[in-house]
Amino acid sequence: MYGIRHISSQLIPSQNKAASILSSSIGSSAASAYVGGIGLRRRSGELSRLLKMNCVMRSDVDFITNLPNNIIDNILGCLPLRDVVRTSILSREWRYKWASCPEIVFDFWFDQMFLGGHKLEPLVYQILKFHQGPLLRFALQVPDLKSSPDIDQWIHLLPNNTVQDLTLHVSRGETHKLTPCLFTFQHLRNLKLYNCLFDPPPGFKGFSKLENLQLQNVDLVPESFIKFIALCPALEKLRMIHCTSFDSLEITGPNLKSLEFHGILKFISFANCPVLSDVKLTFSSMDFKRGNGFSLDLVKSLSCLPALEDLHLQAYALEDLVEHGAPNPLPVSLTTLKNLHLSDMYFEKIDEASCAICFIRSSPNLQRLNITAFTFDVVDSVADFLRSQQSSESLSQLKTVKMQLFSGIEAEMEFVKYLLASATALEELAITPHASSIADGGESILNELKQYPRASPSAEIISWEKIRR
Amino acid sequence: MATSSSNTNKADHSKNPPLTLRSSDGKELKIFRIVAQQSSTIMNLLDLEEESNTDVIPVSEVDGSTLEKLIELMNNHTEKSFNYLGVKERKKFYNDFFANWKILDVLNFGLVANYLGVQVIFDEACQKMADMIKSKSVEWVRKVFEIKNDFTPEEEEDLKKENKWAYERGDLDDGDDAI
Repeated sequence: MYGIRHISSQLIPSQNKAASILSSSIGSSAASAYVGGIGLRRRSGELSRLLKMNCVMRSDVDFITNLPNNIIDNILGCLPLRDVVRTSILSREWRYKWASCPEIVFDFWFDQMFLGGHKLEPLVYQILKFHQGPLLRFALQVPDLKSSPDIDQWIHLLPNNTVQDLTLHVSRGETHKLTPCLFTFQHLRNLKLYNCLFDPPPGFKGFSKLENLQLQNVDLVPESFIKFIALCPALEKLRMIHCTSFDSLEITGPNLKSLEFHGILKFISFANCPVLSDVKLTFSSMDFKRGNGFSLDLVKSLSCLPALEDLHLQAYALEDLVEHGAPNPLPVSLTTLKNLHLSDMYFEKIDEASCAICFIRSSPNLQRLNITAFTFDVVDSVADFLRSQQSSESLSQLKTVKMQLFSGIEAEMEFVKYLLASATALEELAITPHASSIADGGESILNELKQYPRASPSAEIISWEKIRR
Repeated sequence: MATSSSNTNKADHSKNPPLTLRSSDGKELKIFRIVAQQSSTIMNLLDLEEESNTDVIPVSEVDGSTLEKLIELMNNHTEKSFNYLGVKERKKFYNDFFANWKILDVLNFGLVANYLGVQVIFDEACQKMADMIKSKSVEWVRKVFEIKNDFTPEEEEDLKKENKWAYERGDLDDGDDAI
C-alpha cells in the first residue's frame, strides 16, 4: 500500500489521511510555490494552517470525502450518470457534491440500463436544475429522442459560458430546429449534431474555440454554412454525413486537419487550408453530374492542398478523367499525397481502371495504395486494356498495396500485374479475398500473383488476414 | 532507479543530464528534463532549486515506490510511438498499467499525479477509479473509502425517492477486487 498511509505514519496518527498528502511539510516560506498541481494552492494553505493550529481531526475521516472538489469532480466526470447520482446517499457530506459534476451525459447506456419505465423529460429537467457551477460536457443521445420544445428549454438551462462539449442526437421524427441560444455557447470545442437544422443567426461571429464539428443528417443553408466555417478558425476536424447538398462548398480552415464529407456536392474548393492532411469524400449519388469537368475540378482543388497526405475517394468520382487524357498522368499532380484509398472500384469498366491508373500516375509520391473492389457484371474487356498499359513511368515511391474484396477476375489480376511491374520500390502487396467469390481462401490467386514479374525484388505478396499491423 | 527509455532520449544525454528527485523515504530517482516537463510542479521546484544550486530536488510528499511508477509512466508518454496509439490502444495500455491495483492505490497515484501537476496521468487515474466504482453498490463504495453513513434509514429512503431511477436496476456487482 503506497503513498497516503505511508506518509501519514510519519506524521501525527490522528491526522486527516487525505490532508497529509497536501500538507506543506516542506516547511520553507516558499512552500506554497512548491505545492503545485492542479488547484491545490488555496487548499494547502488552509490545511497547513489547520495542521499548525494542531486542531483535532475527526478520527473517522475517510479517504475521499475531504479531497479538493476539483479532484472529486474529475472522478465524478468519468462515471456514468447513474453512479454520479448515487453518490448523493453516501453520507451527508456527499449529498450535494454531484451538483458540480462536470459532465451530464444521457446516452444509450443510460437509456437501456437505467431509465426503465420513467419518463425522460422530467428527469432531464430535474438533473439540469440541480446542477450548479461549471458544466463542461452535455450529451443527449438516447434512442427515440424526438424533436420538442423541451430540447430548447434544456439548452437554455445549460451554462453557456462553460460548456465545451455538446452532443445532440435527435433520433426520430422531424428535424429539430436548434434554438439560437446554442450560438451563445462561446466556449464550444466539440459539437455533434444529428437530425437538426443548423442555421446560425445573422451577425453570428462564429465559435472561436470550436475544434471538432460533426454533423449528420443536418439541414444546412449552404451559403451561410460556408461563412460559418470561415468564422471558426480553430476548427481541426469537420465531418458532414448526409447533410444538405452543396452546389459549391468552399472550405476555409487555417487549422483544419481532417475533412470527411458524405453526400452530394458538385464542386469543392479550399481557401486557406495549410494543414489539411486527411480528406475523405464520398458521394451518395453521382446523378447530379453534368458535363465532364467534375473529376478534373476535384483533382485540381485537391492539388491546392499543400499538406494533403491521406485521401479516400470512390473510384467513380474520377471517371471523367477519361476526357482529360487518362490513363496518362494529368497536368496537375498531387505531390504530397502518400496514402490513397479508392473504394467501390468497379474493375469491369475500362474507364474506372483507366482513371485509377491516371490518378495513381498523377500522385508521384504515393506510398500506400488501398483499393476496395466492387465487382458486379463483366462490362468491358478491361483485361485487354490493362495488358496494353506499359509502365512508362515507374511508381517509384509506392511501398504497399492492399486489395480488398478481391475476386480474382481477369481485370483485377491484370491491374495487380500492372502495379507489380511498375512499382520499383514495392515492399508488400496484401490481398483480402472477397469471401463469396473465392472458395479456397485465396491460395490459388496468391500463387498466380506470385508468378507475375515484379519490378521490385523485395516485394512480398501476402494474404491480408495473416498479418497483424 | 528509474531511467528513461534509451530510444527517445539519446539526444538529451550529453546536453541535459538527468535531474534527480528525492522521495519522502530518501529514494533518489533520475528523470530527464524533457520527461520532467510534463510536471508543472517539478518545473516550479526546478526554478527554485536553480537559485540555490543543489543537484537534488526533494519531492517530500511522495514515497519512492509511487514516484518511480509515475516517472515510468511519464517516460512512456514522451515516446513517439505512444502519441500514435489509437483510443482503444491507449485504453488497453492504461488497463495493463493499472491491472490488479487496489482502488486506494489508484487514488493515491492520482493524488500524486495531481500534486506533481501531470494532468494527463491524473485524468487517467480518475478514469480508472471511475471504472472500478461504476456498477458497485453504495455500500461497497462506503466500505472501500471508509465513508461513514450518517443518514438515518428514513433519510436515506427519502433521498432515494428523489432519484428513484438511479436505485432500481439490480445490475450491481460488487465483486471481490479493489479492497
